[in-house]
Amino acid sequence: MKLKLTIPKDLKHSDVASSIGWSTTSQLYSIGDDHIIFRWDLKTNEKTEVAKLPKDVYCTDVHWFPGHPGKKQATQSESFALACTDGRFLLVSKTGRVEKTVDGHKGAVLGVRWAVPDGSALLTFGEDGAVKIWSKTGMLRTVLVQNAIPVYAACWSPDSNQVLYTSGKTLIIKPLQPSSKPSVWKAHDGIILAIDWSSTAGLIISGGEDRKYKVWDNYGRLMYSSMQNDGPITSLSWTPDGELFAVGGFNTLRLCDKAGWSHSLDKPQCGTIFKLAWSDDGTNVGCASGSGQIIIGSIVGRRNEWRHLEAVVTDENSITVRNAKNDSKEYIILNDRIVKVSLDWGHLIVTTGSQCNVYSERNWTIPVTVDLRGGVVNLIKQAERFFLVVEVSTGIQIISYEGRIVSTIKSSALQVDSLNTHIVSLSNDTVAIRDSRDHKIIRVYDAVSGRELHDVQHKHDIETLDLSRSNSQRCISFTDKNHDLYVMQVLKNVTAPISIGSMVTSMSWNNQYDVLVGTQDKKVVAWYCPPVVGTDIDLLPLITVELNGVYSKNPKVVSFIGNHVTLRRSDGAIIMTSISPFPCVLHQHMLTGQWNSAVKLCRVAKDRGLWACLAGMATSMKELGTAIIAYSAINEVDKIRYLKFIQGLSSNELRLAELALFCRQLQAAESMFVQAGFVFRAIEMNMELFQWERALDLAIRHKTHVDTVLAFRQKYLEEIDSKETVKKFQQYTEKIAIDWDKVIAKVTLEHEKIK
Amino acid sequence: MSYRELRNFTEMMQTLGYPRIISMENFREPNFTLVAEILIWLIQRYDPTAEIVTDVDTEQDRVLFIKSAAQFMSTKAHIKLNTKKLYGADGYAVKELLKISSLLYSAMRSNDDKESKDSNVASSFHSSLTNKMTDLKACRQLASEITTKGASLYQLLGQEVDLREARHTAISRPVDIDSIEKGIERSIEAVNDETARMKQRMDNAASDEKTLEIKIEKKGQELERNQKRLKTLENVRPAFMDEYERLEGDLKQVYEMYMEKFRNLSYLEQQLEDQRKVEQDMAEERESSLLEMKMQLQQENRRTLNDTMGVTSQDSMVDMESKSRFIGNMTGEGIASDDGSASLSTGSREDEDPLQDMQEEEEDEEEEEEEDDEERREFAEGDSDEDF
Repeated sequence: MKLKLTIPKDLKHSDVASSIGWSTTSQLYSIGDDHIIFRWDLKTNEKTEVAKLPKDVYCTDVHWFPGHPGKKQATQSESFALACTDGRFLLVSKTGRVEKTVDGHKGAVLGVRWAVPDGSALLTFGEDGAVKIWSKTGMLRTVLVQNAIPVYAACWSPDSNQVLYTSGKTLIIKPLQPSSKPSVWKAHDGIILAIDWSSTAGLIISGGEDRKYKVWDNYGRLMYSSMQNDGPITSLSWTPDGELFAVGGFNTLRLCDKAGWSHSLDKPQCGTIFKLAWSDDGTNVGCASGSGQIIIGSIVGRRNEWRHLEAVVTDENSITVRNAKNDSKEYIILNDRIVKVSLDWGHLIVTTGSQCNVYSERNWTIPVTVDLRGGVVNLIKQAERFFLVVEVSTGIQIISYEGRIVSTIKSSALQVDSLNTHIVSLSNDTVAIRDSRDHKIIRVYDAVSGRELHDVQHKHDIETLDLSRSNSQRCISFTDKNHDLYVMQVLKNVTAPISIGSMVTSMSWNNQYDVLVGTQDKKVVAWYCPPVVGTDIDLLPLITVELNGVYSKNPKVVSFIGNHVTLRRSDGAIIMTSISPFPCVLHQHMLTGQWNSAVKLCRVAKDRGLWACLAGMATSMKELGTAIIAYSAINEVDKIRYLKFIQGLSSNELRLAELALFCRQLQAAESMFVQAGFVFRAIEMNMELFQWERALDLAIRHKTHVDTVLAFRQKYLEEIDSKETVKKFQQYTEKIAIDWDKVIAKVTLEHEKIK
Repeated sequence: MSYRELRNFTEMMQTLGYPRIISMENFREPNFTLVAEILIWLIQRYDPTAEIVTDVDTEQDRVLFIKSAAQFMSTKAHIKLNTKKLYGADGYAVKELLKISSLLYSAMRSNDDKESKDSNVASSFHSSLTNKMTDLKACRQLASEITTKGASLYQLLGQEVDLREARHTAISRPVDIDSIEKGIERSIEAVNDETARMKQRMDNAASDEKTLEIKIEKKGQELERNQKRLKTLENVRPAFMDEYERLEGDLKQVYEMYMEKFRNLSYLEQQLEDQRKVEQDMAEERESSLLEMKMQLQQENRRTLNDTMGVTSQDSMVDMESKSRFIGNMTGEGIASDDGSASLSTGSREDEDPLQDMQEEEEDEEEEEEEDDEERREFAEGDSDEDF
C-alpha cells in the first residue's frame, strides 16, 4: 500500500499554506498566509478561488463542521471554524463569508476542533496555554485548562467526554467533568507538535520535535514508537476508519498502519507539511506545506487475499484480481473512485461513493450492484451467505450476495461511525456488535430479521469480539481490556461467558469449524474446541495447544482459513503458520455424527487434545459410549465412572439431569430432578455439595426426607466437631426425632428405585 | 513575538538547510548563543567571504558582535536590524532574524522558479528566430502598402478642389434631426435584430451540442455495454463445442491415417508400374535379340548350305537362294541327301536349344522379380505398420 501523490502545479499559495480541510469527499479547501481560500475539485481537477480573507487574518488551523450522518444526502459540511494568529477564531461559511468572529485567546489560537459526531461543541487552544470549549455559535462554555506553556495540539476523545492536549513534552487526558482527575504522562523527549485520537480505533498518535511519532492506546500505554525521522513531526492524522494514519514532516510524508509500522514514505520537495486532512472516505489525504504547495495523496495498492485469490487496488478506480490457481488475471475498472474493498468467501465487494458492486469468483465481468444511499461506507464484513455494510448515512445493512437487502439493524445503542472491524462480527445467522456507549455490552442480533436477540453484559470494557463460523452451535469469543479471552454460546441456549485464556491480544475463529486461534504475547495458541469448556472445564488445558515457531513480539491474527493461520508481526511482516489438520477433520466427523470415524481418527493421531475435544463434544451431544472411550484415553477415571453410572440409569429424564450435573449446571440439574419426580436425588445432590439449607428447604417443600437431611447434617457436624448454628436446623431437630436405621433404610430404598 | 513568525522562521531555516533543528520553544527564554550562531550562519550564507567577530563570551563582545553584524547587514544587504532586540535574544530577535532569512528564502524560491523556466529557454530562442523571419515579410508588405496608399492619397487630394463645393453646400443645408434620429433608431433596431438572431443561433448551437453530447454519451454507454456483453459471450462456450472439438480431433487422426495409407498405396502402384516397364523393356530386348539370333542362325545355315553346294560367290547368292528354295520346295523330300538332312536336322536342333534356354532364363528371372516384389511389398507394409 502506498500513496500516489498528485502535485497540482497551479494549486499553490504564494505564502505558507497553513491549513487544509475537506468539505465533501471530493472538495478540498486550503488556506494560506496569502489570505486566499482555494477549492480543489478532485473529480474535475479544477481550482477555484473561493474567497479572500481580510488582510489581518493569518490562519493557523481550520476544522470543518462535521456533516450530519442520517440525512439522506451525502454528508456535506457547510461551514468551518478558523483559528487566527491574533487570538481570534472565525466561523466561516463554505463560500468564504465570515459569519462570526470571536476573541478567544491571548496570543495565537493554535487550533480549533469540533466535537464528533454532531459538532455540539468547539474546542480551541492557544499560545496562552488555555484550552477552551465553546458552544456551536461561539459562546464560551468553559475554560478547561489554563496551562503555563502553549498548547500546540489538542483533540477530543472518541466519545467527546474527554480532551487530550499537549503540554510541552507531556500528554494529558482531561475529562470534561470538573472534579475528575486528568491522566498525565511524559510522551516525548521534545515538544509535542501534533496529536490525533481515532474515534474508531480508539488509539492516540503523537509526534514532536524529538523526530519520533508514537502510538498509544486510550489509557496512555505505549503501543509503538518510531525510529528518529529526519526532522520534527509537524502533523499527524488518522483515516476515518482508524486503520491507517499519515505523518508529515519537513519534505516528508509517511503512511503508517495503526500498529505503527510504515507502509510508505514519500519525499515531496515542498517544505514542512503543516497540516494533513483525510477525506471522509479515507482514500485521499490533503497536505498543506510550507512552500504553499498543496499535495493530494491517494491510497493505491491495497491488497486483499482469500485462499487462491488476490485483489489489488491498482489505481483510484481499477482493481486487479489474480487467481493463483491458474495465474490468470482479471482487470476490473469502475467509473467511480473505489472506497472499500473486501474479499472473502469467493466474493469481492467493492464500494464506491454511490454503489456497492458484488463480484463473484465465477464472474468478474458483470457485478451485482446495490445502490448505496450516499454516505460513506466505513466497514464491510462478510459471511458465507451474506455480507454486512456499515454506512454512515443509512446504518448497518445486511445484504445477500444476490444484491437483496436481507435486513437492517437499527439501534440507538450503535454509533455507526465508531464501528470498526474488531467490534463487529457477522455469521450466517447472527450479528454481534459492541455497544457504542457502554463498551461492556455486546449486542447480539438476528441476521435475517435484524431483531435484537439478547445482550451480553460483561464486567470490563470489551476490545475485540468474533463469532464462530461453523454451522453447529453459534459461539462468540471476546477479549476485554485486561486481554482475557472468554467464550460463550449465543443464539439458542445462551451460557455464561467462560474465561479460556489471558493476555490474548487478538483471535480468530476458523472459517469452517469451531477452532479458535489467538495470540498471547509472543505465543500463538490454538483452542481445538472451545465450546467444550461449557461441558467440562477440566478439558481446557488439554484443548489449548501452543503452536511451534518464533513469532516475535505481539503478532496479530489476520485470518484463519482451513489449517492455515496468517499472522502479522508487530513490524508489519506477514507470516503463515499452520495447525494440525486433525482437529478440522475431527470436527467434520462430529458435525456429521460419525462418532466411530472420530474415534478411529483420535486413535491414529494419538493426541490428548483431540481426545479431549471428542470427550467434550460427545458428552454435550449425549453420545455416552464415545465419551467414555475418549475419557479413558485421557485417563479421567472419575468421569468414566460417573458416565457409566449415567449410562446405567433407567429413566431418560434422570439421565439428562445427571448429565446436566456432570456439566456443572447445578440449577438446571436440580430442577430437572424435581420435575422428573426424583426429589430425593435433588436433596441428595445438595447434601453432597454441602448446601444443607437448600436441601432442607427442598425436603420441607416436598415433605419427604426431612429426617434424612437432619441426620446427615448431624453426622457432618459431628465429624467437623462443631455445633448447629443455623436456626432452621435447630428448629427441626427439636421437632423431629432421628432414627438412623430408618434413614438408612429409606435411602437404600430410594437408590434402588433409581436403578 | 508571534507563533506565525516563529513557525515561518523555523520553516525558512530548515529550507535554507540550517544544520540543527530550531524548536518552537527555543526563544521562549533569551538564548543569545543560539541567536549568535544563527546570525553568523546567516551572514556566512549571505556572503561567505564576510569577516565578523565571532566572540560572544562577555557582554562587551556581544555588543560588538551585534553591532558589527548589524552594520554588515545594513551596508551589504540594506537591511536595518534593531540591535536592541537582537541583543534581547528572545522572540523579538526572531523578527529581526526573519528579515535576513526571508531575503535568502525568497531568493532561493525565485531561483527554483527560474530553474524550472530555464528548460524553456532553448525552445523560446528557436521560436524567436522564426518570429523575426515572419516580421521581415510583414515589413516588406507594409512598405509596398505605404507607396500604394500614398499614391491614392495624392489622387484624393487632387479631387479636393471639386469636392470642396459640394461639402460646403452639404454643411449649409439645415439638418433634419428627426430623420437622422429615425435613421439611427432604425439601424439600432437592425443591429438588435441581428444580435437576437445571433443569440438564438448560438442557443440552438448550444442545445444541439448538448443533445449531441447526450447522444455520444448514450452511444458510449451502449458501446461499453455491448463490449461487456461481447466479452461475456466470448467467454461462454456453446454446448456442442466440446463434442465438436473431439470430432475434429478424430477427423484429423483419421485423415492422417488415410493420408498414410494413400501415400503407401500410390508408392506401391508406382513401384508396380516401374516393374512392369522394366519387364516390358526386357521382353522387347529379348525378342529383338531372339530375332537377331534367328537371323544369324539362318545366315549360318545358309552359309553351310552354300558350302556344301559349292557356291562361294556372292553374286549368285540370290539365284542360289531361289535355287535352294526351289530345290527345297521342289525336292525337299525328293532329293534329300543324308548330309543335307543331317545338317538341316542339326540346324533345327541347334535352333531349338537356345530358345529353350532363353525361356528357362526368363522364368528364372520372373521368379526373382516376384520375390523382389514380395520383399518390397513386405517392406512397404512394414513401413506402413510402423507408421501406424
